[in-house]
Amino acid sequence: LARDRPAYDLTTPRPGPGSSRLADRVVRVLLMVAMICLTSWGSGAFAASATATVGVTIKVESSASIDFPEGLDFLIEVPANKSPRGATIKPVRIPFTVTGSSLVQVQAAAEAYLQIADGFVAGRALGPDGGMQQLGYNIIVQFPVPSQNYSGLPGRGGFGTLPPKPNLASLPGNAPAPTPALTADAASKPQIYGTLHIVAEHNWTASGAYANPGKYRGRITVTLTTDNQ
Amino acid sequence: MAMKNAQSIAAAPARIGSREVNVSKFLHQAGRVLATAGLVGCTISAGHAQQITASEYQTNINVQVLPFAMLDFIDSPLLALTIPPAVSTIPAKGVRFRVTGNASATMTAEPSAFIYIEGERFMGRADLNGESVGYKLELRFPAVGILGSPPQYAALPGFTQGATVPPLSVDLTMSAGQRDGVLHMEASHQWTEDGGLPRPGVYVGNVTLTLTADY
Repeated sequence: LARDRPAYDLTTPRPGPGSSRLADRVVRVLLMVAMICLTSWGSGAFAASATATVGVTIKVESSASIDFPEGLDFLIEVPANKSPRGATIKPVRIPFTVTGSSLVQVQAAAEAYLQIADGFVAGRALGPDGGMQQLGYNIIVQFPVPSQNYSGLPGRGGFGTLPPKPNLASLPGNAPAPTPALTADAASKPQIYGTLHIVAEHNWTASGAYANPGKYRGRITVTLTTDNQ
Repeated sequence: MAMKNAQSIAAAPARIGSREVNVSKFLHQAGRVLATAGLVGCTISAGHAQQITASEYQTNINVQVLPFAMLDFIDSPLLALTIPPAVSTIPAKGVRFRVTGNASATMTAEPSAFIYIEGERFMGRADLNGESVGYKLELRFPAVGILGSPPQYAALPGFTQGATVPPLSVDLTMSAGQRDGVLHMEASHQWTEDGGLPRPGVYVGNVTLTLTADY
Protein backbone atom coordinates (compact mmCIF):
# COMPACT_ATOMS: atom_id res chain seq x y z
CA LEU A 1 0.00 0.00 0.00
CA ALA A 2 2.80 2.37 0.82
CA ARG A 3 4.40 1.65 -2.54
CA ASP A 4 1.19 2.68 -4.35
CA ARG A 5 0.69 5.89 -2.41
CA PRO A 6 1.39 8.96 -4.56
CA ALA A 7 3.87 11.53 -3.34
CA TYR A 8 1.28 14.16 -2.63
CA ASP A 9 -0.20 11.91 0.03
CA LEU A 10 2.65 13.01 2.26
CA THR A 11 1.17 16.49 2.50
CA THR A 12 -2.47 16.13 1.62
CA PRO A 13 -5.27 14.09 3.06
CA ARG A 14 -5.75 10.68 1.59
CA PRO A 15 -8.75 10.29 -0.65
CA GLY A 16 -11.78 9.46 1.38
CA PRO A 17 -14.29 6.77 0.72
CA GLY A 18 -16.15 7.35 -2.49
CA SER A 19 -13.32 9.02 -4.33
CA SER A 20 -11.69 7.41 -7.36
CA ARG A 21 -8.54 7.37 -9.44
CA LEU A 22 -10.08 10.20 -11.42
CA ALA A 23 -10.12 12.35 -8.31
CA ASP A 24 -6.52 11.43 -7.61
CA ARG A 25 -5.56 12.66 -11.01
CA VAL A 26 -7.40 15.92 -10.42
CA VAL A 27 -5.58 16.62 -7.21
CA ARG A 28 -2.26 15.66 -8.78
CA VAL A 29 -2.79 18.08 -11.66
CA LEU A 30 -3.72 20.86 -9.27
CA LEU A 31 -0.68 20.30 -7.15
CA MET A 32 1.52 20.28 -10.23
CA VAL A 33 0.12 23.66 -11.22
CA ALA A 34 0.73 24.99 -7.74
CA MET A 35 4.30 23.69 -7.74
CA ILE A 36 5.00 25.29 -11.09
CA CYS A 37 3.65 28.59 -9.89
CA LEU A 38 5.57 28.51 -6.65
CA THR A 39 8.75 27.50 -8.40
CA SER A 40 8.40 30.34 -10.86
CA TRP A 41 7.57 33.11 -8.47
CA GLY A 42 8.65 31.98 -5.05
CA SER A 43 6.42 32.11 -2.04
CA GLY A 44 7.16 35.51 -0.51
CA ALA A 45 6.91 38.94 -2.14
CA PHE A 46 6.28 38.12 -5.76
CA ALA A 47 8.05 39.98 -8.52
CA ALA A 48 7.71 38.63 -12.03
CA SER A 49 10.28 40.16 -14.39
CA ALA A 50 10.57 40.27 -18.13
CA THR A 51 12.93 41.99 -20.53
CA ALA A 52 12.68 43.36 -24.03
CA THR A 53 15.39 44.64 -26.34
CA VAL A 54 15.44 47.94 -28.18
CA GLY A 55 17.90 48.36 -31.04
CA VAL A 56 20.05 51.48 -31.30
CA THR A 57 21.46 52.78 -34.57
CA ILE A 58 23.39 56.00 -34.85
CA LYS A 59 24.26 57.01 -38.37
CA VAL A 60 27.36 59.19 -38.34
CA GLU A 61 27.77 61.33 -41.41
CA SER A 62 30.98 62.91 -42.53
CA SER A 63 31.80 66.17 -40.86
CA ALA A 64 34.64 68.62 -40.84
CA SER A 65 35.47 72.03 -39.51
CA ILE A 66 38.11 74.59 -40.39
CA ASP A 67 39.61 77.19 -38.14
CA PHE A 68 41.60 80.28 -39.00
CA PRO A 69 43.39 81.30 -35.83
CA GLU A 70 44.54 84.58 -37.40
CA GLY A 71 41.39 85.31 -39.41
CA LEU A 72 40.82 85.49 -43.15
CA ASP A 73 41.13 89.21 -43.84
CA PHE A 74 44.58 90.34 -44.80
CA LEU A 75 46.65 93.36 -45.69
CA ILE A 76 49.26 93.39 -48.45
CA GLU A 77 51.88 95.99 -47.65
CA VAL A 78 53.50 97.63 -50.66
CA PRO A 79 56.74 99.19 -49.50
CA ALA A 80 57.87 102.62 -50.68
CA ASN A 81 61.29 101.55 -51.90
CA LYS A 82 59.98 99.18 -54.45
CA SER A 83 62.45 97.46 -56.69
CA PRO A 84 61.97 96.69 -60.36
CA ARG A 85 61.70 93.00 -59.61
CA GLY A 86 58.90 93.53 -57.13
CA ALA A 87 60.47 91.18 -54.63
CA THR A 88 59.93 93.42 -51.69
CA ILE A 89 56.23 92.76 -51.24
CA LYS A 90 56.22 90.29 -48.40
CA PRO A 91 53.76 87.39 -48.82
CA VAL A 92 50.97 87.19 -46.29
CA ARG A 93 50.65 83.87 -44.54
CA ILE A 94 47.24 82.65 -43.31
CA PRO A 95 47.37 79.37 -41.36
CA PHE A 96 44.36 77.13 -40.88
CA THR A 97 43.46 73.91 -39.10
CA VAL A 98 41.03 71.26 -40.30
CA THR A 99 39.26 68.70 -38.14
CA GLY A 100 37.17 66.01 -39.77
CA SER A 101 36.02 62.42 -39.88
CA SER A 102 36.74 61.55 -43.50
CA LEU A 103 38.35 62.85 -46.66
CA VAL A 104 38.09 66.62 -46.89
CA GLN A 105 38.70 69.07 -49.69
CA VAL A 106 39.88 72.65 -49.38
CA GLN A 107 39.80 75.34 -52.02
CA ALA A 108 40.18 79.10 -51.88
CA ALA A 109 38.73 81.94 -53.90
CA ALA A 110 39.18 85.69 -53.94
CA GLU A 111 36.21 87.79 -52.92
CA ALA A 112 36.82 89.98 -56.01
CA TYR A 113 38.95 89.65 -59.10
CA LEU A 114 41.06 91.96 -61.19
CA GLN A 115 42.43 91.41 -64.68
CA ILE A 116 45.98 92.61 -64.57
CA ALA A 117 48.00 94.00 -67.43
CA ASP A 118 49.91 90.84 -68.25
CA GLY A 119 46.65 89.01 -68.94
CA PHE A 120 46.12 87.01 -65.76
CA VAL A 121 43.00 87.21 -63.65
CA ALA A 122 44.13 87.89 -60.08
CA GLY A 123 42.43 88.48 -56.78
CA ARG A 124 41.74 92.13 -56.10
CA ALA A 125 42.93 94.06 -53.05
CA LEU A 126 41.89 97.67 -52.44
CA GLY A 127 44.41 100.35 -51.56
CA PRO A 128 44.54 102.86 -48.76
CA ASP A 129 42.86 105.62 -50.74
CA GLY A 130 39.40 104.18 -50.44
CA GLY A 131 39.71 101.70 -53.26
CA MET A 132 40.90 103.93 -56.05
CA GLN A 133 44.14 101.95 -56.09
CA GLN A 134 43.86 98.23 -56.79
CA LEU A 135 46.43 95.52 -56.58
CA GLY A 136 46.21 92.02 -57.93
CA TYR A 137 47.25 89.02 -55.87
CA ASN A 138 47.52 85.28 -56.15
CA ILE A 139 46.41 82.69 -53.57
CA ILE A 140 48.71 79.74 -52.94
CA VAL A 141 47.15 76.90 -50.96
CA GLN A 142 49.30 74.27 -49.26
CA PHE A 143 47.25 71.46 -47.78
CA PRO A 144 48.17 69.46 -45.86
CA VAL A 145 51.38 70.80 -44.38
CA PRO A 146 53.51 69.15 -41.69
CA SER A 147 52.86 71.58 -38.87
CA GLN A 148 50.75 74.50 -37.82
CA ASN A 149 53.60 76.96 -38.25
CA TYR A 150 54.71 75.68 -41.63
CA SER A 151 55.61 78.57 -43.93
CA GLY A 152 57.53 77.11 -46.83
CA LEU A 153 56.38 78.94 -49.95
CA PRO A 154 57.53 77.24 -53.14
CA GLY A 155 58.88 79.87 -55.55
CA ARG A 156 57.53 83.38 -55.79
CA GLY A 157 53.93 82.44 -56.37
CA GLY A 158 53.49 83.79 -59.85
CA PHE A 159 50.60 82.55 -61.98
CA GLY A 160 51.39 79.23 -63.62
CA THR A 161 54.75 78.90 -61.89
CA LEU A 162 53.97 76.40 -59.16
CA PRO A 163 55.59 72.97 -59.22
CA PRO A 164 53.05 70.15 -59.66
CA LYS A 165 52.52 68.81 -56.17
CA PRO A 166 49.40 67.15 -54.75
CA ASN A 167 49.34 69.50 -51.77
CA LEU A 168 49.79 72.70 -53.77
CA ALA A 169 47.30 74.86 -55.69
CA SER A 170 46.85 78.47 -56.78
CA LEU A 171 44.33 80.65 -58.58
CA PRO A 172 44.01 79.48 -62.20
CA GLY A 173 44.83 82.93 -63.58
CA ASN A 174 42.74 82.50 -66.72
CA ALA A 175 39.34 83.09 -65.11
CA PRO A 176 37.83 84.56 -61.94
CA ALA A 177 37.65 81.13 -60.33
CA PRO A 178 38.79 79.43 -57.15
CA THR A 179 41.88 77.30 -56.75
CA PRO A 180 41.63 73.59 -57.50
CA ALA A 181 40.54 71.57 -54.48
CA LEU A 182 43.20 69.88 -52.40
CA THR A 183 42.31 66.64 -50.63
CA ALA A 184 43.49 65.14 -47.34
CA ASP A 185 42.29 62.42 -44.96
CA ALA A 186 41.18 64.32 -41.91
CA ALA A 187 40.32 61.12 -40.08
CA SER A 188 43.94 60.05 -40.03
CA LYS A 189 44.89 62.66 -37.43
CA PRO A 190 43.05 64.66 -34.80
CA GLN A 191 43.97 67.83 -36.73
CA ILE A 192 45.57 68.55 -40.06
CA TYR A 193 47.12 71.85 -41.02
CA GLY A 194 47.20 74.04 -44.06
CA THR A 195 48.60 77.37 -45.14
CA LEU A 196 47.34 80.08 -47.47
CA HIS A 197 49.91 82.42 -49.00
CA ILE A 198 48.83 85.74 -50.49
CA VAL A 199 51.45 86.92 -52.95
CA ALA A 200 51.60 90.05 -55.10
CA GLU A 201 53.93 91.92 -57.40
CA HIS A 202 54.27 95.69 -57.73
CA ASN A 203 53.02 95.68 -61.27
CA TRP A 204 50.00 93.43 -60.76
CA THR A 205 47.67 96.28 -61.56
CA ALA A 206 45.12 96.84 -64.32
CA SER A 207 47.47 99.18 -66.16
CA GLY A 208 50.69 97.41 -65.34
CA ALA A 209 51.97 100.48 -63.50
CA TYR A 210 53.53 100.01 -60.11
CA ALA A 211 51.06 100.19 -57.28
CA ASN A 212 51.32 103.07 -54.85
CA PRO A 213 52.94 102.28 -51.51
CA GLY A 214 50.58 101.47 -48.68
CA LYS A 215 48.41 98.71 -47.34
CA TYR A 216 46.00 96.93 -49.63
CA ARG A 217 43.11 95.08 -48.05
CA GLY A 218 41.69 91.87 -49.47
CA ARG A 219 39.38 89.08 -48.46
CA ILE A 220 39.23 85.49 -49.56
CA THR A 221 36.72 82.67 -49.22
CA VAL A 222 37.77 79.15 -48.27
CA THR A 223 35.47 76.23 -48.96
CA LEU A 224 35.74 72.99 -47.02
CA THR A 225 33.82 69.93 -48.23
CA THR A 226 33.58 66.35 -47.00
CA ASP A 227 32.84 63.06 -48.69
CA ASN A 228 29.45 62.06 -47.35
CA GLN A 229 28.48 58.44 -47.68
CA MET B 1 -22.50 25.19 -7.89
CA ALA B 2 -19.96 27.41 -9.50
CA MET B 3 -18.74 26.15 -12.83
CA LYS B 4 -15.93 28.51 -13.63
CA ASN B 5 -13.40 26.76 -15.80
CA ALA B 6 -9.68 27.26 -16.01
CA GLN B 7 -9.91 30.07 -18.59
CA SER B 8 -11.32 32.37 -15.94
CA ILE B 9 -7.90 32.48 -14.33
CA ALA B 10 -6.63 34.51 -17.18
CA ALA B 11 -9.82 36.39 -17.82
CA ALA B 12 -10.27 37.56 -14.24
CA PRO B 13 -6.77 37.54 -12.93
CA ALA B 14 -7.26 39.88 -9.99
CA ARG B 15 -9.77 37.83 -8.10
CA ILE B 16 -8.67 35.76 -5.19
CA GLY B 17 -10.99 33.25 -3.65
CA SER B 18 -12.34 29.76 -3.46
CA ARG B 19 -14.39 28.05 -6.09
CA GLU B 20 -15.95 24.66 -6.63
CA VAL B 21 -15.04 23.07 -9.87
CA ASN B 22 -16.64 20.36 -11.88
CA VAL B 23 -13.88 17.79 -11.93
CA SER B 24 -14.64 16.18 -15.22
CA LYS B 25 -14.60 19.52 -16.97
CA PHE B 26 -11.56 20.56 -15.08
CA LEU B 27 -9.59 17.62 -16.34
CA HIS B 28 -10.22 18.74 -19.88
CA GLN B 29 -9.00 22.18 -18.96
CA ALA B 30 -5.93 21.08 -17.05
CA GLY B 31 -3.65 21.67 -19.99
CA ARG B 32 -4.93 25.18 -20.33
CA VAL B 33 -4.34 25.75 -16.65
CA LEU B 34 -0.74 24.78 -17.01
CA ALA B 35 -0.28 26.99 -20.02
CA THR B 36 -2.04 29.95 -18.50
CA ALA B 37 -0.27 29.68 -15.20
CA GLY B 38 2.98 30.59 -16.85
CA LEU B 39 1.51 33.83 -18.13
CA VAL B 40 -0.76 34.93 -15.33
CA GLY B 41 1.06 33.61 -12.34
CA CYS B 42 -1.09 31.80 -9.84
CA THR B 43 -1.01 29.42 -6.95
CA ILE B 44 -3.63 26.75 -6.69
CA SER B 45 -4.36 24.49 -3.79
CA ALA B 46 -7.02 21.85 -3.64
CA GLY B 47 -8.68 19.63 -1.13
CA HIS B 48 -9.70 16.09 -1.83
CA ALA B 49 -12.42 15.41 -4.37
CA GLN B 50 -15.85 14.21 -3.41
CA GLN B 51 -17.93 12.05 -5.71
CA ILE B 52 -21.31 13.57 -6.52
CA THR B 53 -22.61 11.13 -9.08
CA ALA B 54 -21.11 8.25 -10.99
CA SER B 55 -19.35 10.66 -13.34
CA GLU B 56 -19.08 13.90 -11.34
CA TYR B 57 -16.76 14.88 -8.54
CA GLN B 58 -16.53 18.02 -6.51
CA THR B 59 -13.54 19.64 -4.95
CA ASN B 60 -12.60 23.05 -3.60
CA ILE B 61 -9.93 24.97 -5.43
CA ASN B 62 -8.25 28.14 -4.20
CA VAL B 63 -6.87 30.23 -6.99
CA GLN B 64 -4.48 32.99 -6.04
CA VAL B 65 -3.55 35.19 -8.93
CA LEU B 66 -0.06 36.62 -8.74
CA PRO B 67 0.97 40.00 -10.05
CA PHE B 68 1.95 40.12 -13.67
CA ALA B 69 2.79 42.69 -16.29
CA MET B 70 3.65 42.48 -19.95
CA LEU B 71 5.13 44.88 -22.44
CA ASP B 72 4.27 45.43 -26.07
CA PHE B 73 5.99 47.80 -28.46
CA ILE B 74 3.51 50.13 -30.09
CA ASP B 75 5.76 50.64 -33.10
CA SER B 76 9.26 49.63 -34.16
CA PRO B 77 11.60 48.86 -31.25
CA LEU B 78 14.44 50.82 -32.82
CA LEU B 79 16.02 54.06 -31.70
CA ALA B 80 17.64 55.77 -34.67
CA LEU B 81 19.47 59.06 -35.11
CA THR B 82 21.73 60.73 -37.64
CA ILE B 83 24.59 62.92 -36.49
CA PRO B 84 26.04 65.53 -36.72
CA PRO B 85 24.73 67.80 -35.40
CA ALA B 86 23.97 66.56 -31.91
CA VAL B 87 20.36 65.43 -31.88
CA SER B 88 17.70 63.71 -29.80
CA THR B 89 14.68 61.53 -30.51
CA ILE B 90 12.68 63.77 -28.17
CA PRO B 91 9.84 64.56 -28.57
CA ALA B 92 8.45 62.32 -31.27
CA LYS B 93 10.87 59.67 -32.49
CA GLY B 94 11.34 57.51 -29.41
CA VAL B 95 10.32 53.89 -29.00
CA ARG B 96 6.81 53.74 -27.59
CA PHE B 97 5.58 50.77 -25.61
CA ARG B 98 2.52 49.68 -23.66
CA VAL B 99 2.61 47.91 -20.33
CA THR B 100 -0.37 45.75 -19.40
CA GLY B 101 -0.84 44.06 -16.06
CA ASN B 102 -2.70 43.64 -12.83
CA ALA B 103 -0.19 45.10 -10.42
CA SER B 104 2.42 47.73 -9.85
CA ALA B 105 4.89 47.63 -12.74
CA THR B 106 8.46 48.92 -12.53
CA MET B 107 10.53 49.79 -15.58
CA THR B 108 14.23 50.41 -16.18
CA ALA B 109 16.34 50.67 -19.32
CA GLU B 110 19.99 49.71 -19.61
CA PRO B 111 22.42 49.86 -22.54
CA SER B 112 24.18 46.61 -23.41
CA ALA B 113 27.54 48.41 -23.35
CA PHE B 114 28.93 51.61 -21.88
CA ILE B 115 31.51 54.21 -22.79
CA TYR B 116 33.15 56.83 -20.61
CA ILE B 117 33.23 60.30 -22.15
CA GLU B 118 35.27 63.01 -20.51
CA GLY B 119 32.90 65.62 -19.16
CA GLU B 120 29.85 63.44 -19.74
CA ARG B 121 30.86 60.36 -17.74
CA PHE B 122 29.27 56.96 -18.46
CA MET B 123 26.76 56.63 -21.26
CA GLY B 124 25.51 53.98 -23.65
CA ARG B 125 27.85 52.77 -26.39
CA ALA B 126 27.15 52.07 -30.05
CA ASP B 127 29.93 50.41 -32.06
CA LEU B 128 31.23 50.19 -35.59
CA ASN B 129 34.45 48.37 -36.51
CA GLY B 130 36.05 48.94 -33.16
CA GLU B 131 35.06 52.60 -32.91
CA SER B 132 32.36 53.83 -30.56
CA VAL B 133 29.89 56.66 -30.15
CA GLY B 134 28.11 57.45 -26.90
CA TYR B 135 24.42 57.99 -26.36
CA LYS B 136 22.17 58.98 -23.49
CA LEU B 137 18.79 57.52 -22.59
CA GLU B 138 15.63 59.01 -21.19
CA LEU B 139 12.86 56.66 -20.06
CA ARG B 140 9.37 58.07 -19.62
CA PHE B 141 6.90 55.83 -17.81
CA PRO B 142 4.13 56.65 -17.75
CA ALA B 143 4.63 58.97 -20.68
CA VAL B 144 1.31 60.70 -20.07
CA GLY B 145 0.02 61.44 -16.61
CA ILE B 146 -3.40 60.89 -15.11
CA LEU B 147 -4.85 62.15 -11.86
CA GLY B 148 -2.73 60.73 -9.08
CA SER B 149 -0.17 59.27 -11.42
CA PRO B 150 1.91 61.95 -13.17
CA PRO B 151 4.53 61.33 -15.89
CA GLN B 152 7.83 60.02 -14.61
CA TYR B 153 11.32 60.36 -16.03
CA ALA B 154 14.55 58.44 -15.58
CA ALA B 155 18.03 58.73 -17.06
CA LEU B 156 21.31 56.84 -16.96
CA PRO B 157 23.13 57.42 -13.68
CA GLY B 158 26.28 58.70 -15.37
CA PHE B 159 28.58 58.23 -12.40
CA THR B 160 28.50 54.48 -12.96
CA GLN B 161 27.45 51.90 -15.50
CA GLY B 162 23.90 50.78 -14.89
CA ALA B 163 20.23 51.02 -15.69
CA THR B 164 18.24 54.23 -15.72
CA VAL B 165 17.48 55.77 -12.37
CA PRO B 166 15.20 55.98 -10.58
CA PRO B 167 13.23 52.81 -11.33
CA LEU B 168 9.83 54.00 -12.52
CA SER B 169 6.89 52.29 -10.81
CA VAL B 170 3.30 52.64 -11.90
CA ASP B 171 0.18 51.14 -10.33
CA LEU B 172 -1.51 49.70 -13.39
CA THR B 173 -4.77 49.13 -11.54
CA MET B 174 -5.34 52.89 -11.55
CA SER B 175 -5.70 52.92 -15.32
CA ALA B 176 -7.55 49.76 -16.29
CA GLY B 177 -4.36 47.75 -16.24
CA GLN B 178 -2.58 49.63 -19.00
CA ARG B 179 -0.08 52.52 -19.33
CA ASP B 180 2.14 53.71 -22.14
CA GLY B 181 5.77 54.69 -21.97
CA VAL B 182 8.48 55.89 -24.30
CA LEU B 183 12.25 55.49 -24.51
CA HIS B 184 14.29 58.34 -25.95
CA MET B 185 17.92 58.64 -27.04
CA GLU B 186 20.31 61.55 -27.46
CA ALA B 187 23.55 61.35 -29.41
CA SER B 188 26.39 63.62 -30.44
CA HIS B 189 29.33 63.27 -32.82
CA GLN B 190 31.47 64.69 -30.03
CA TRP B 191 30.78 61.77 -27.69
CA THR B 192 33.74 59.63 -28.63
CA GLU B 193 36.38 58.05 -26.48
CA ASP B 194 39.20 60.34 -27.61
CA GLY B 195 37.05 63.40 -28.27
CA GLY B 196 37.71 63.22 -32.01
CA LEU B 197 35.09 62.95 -34.70
CA PRO B 198 33.79 59.44 -35.34
CA ARG B 199 34.27 57.90 -38.77
CA PRO B 200 31.17 57.91 -40.97
CA GLY B 201 28.95 54.85 -40.83
CA VAL B 202 26.17 53.22 -38.84
CA TYR B 203 26.99 52.55 -35.20
CA VAL B 204 24.90 49.87 -33.48
CA GLY B 205 23.93 49.13 -29.87
CA ASN B 206 21.19 47.63 -27.75
CA VAL B 207 19.07 48.68 -24.81
CA THR B 208 17.38 46.22 -22.49
CA LEU B 209 14.04 47.22 -21.03
CA THR B 210 13.28 45.40 -17.79
CA LEU B 211 9.73 45.17 -16.54
CA THR B 212 8.92 43.90 -13.07
CA ALA B 213 5.47 43.25 -11.65
CA ASP B 214 5.42 43.74 -7.88
CA TYR B 215 3.10 43.22 -5.00
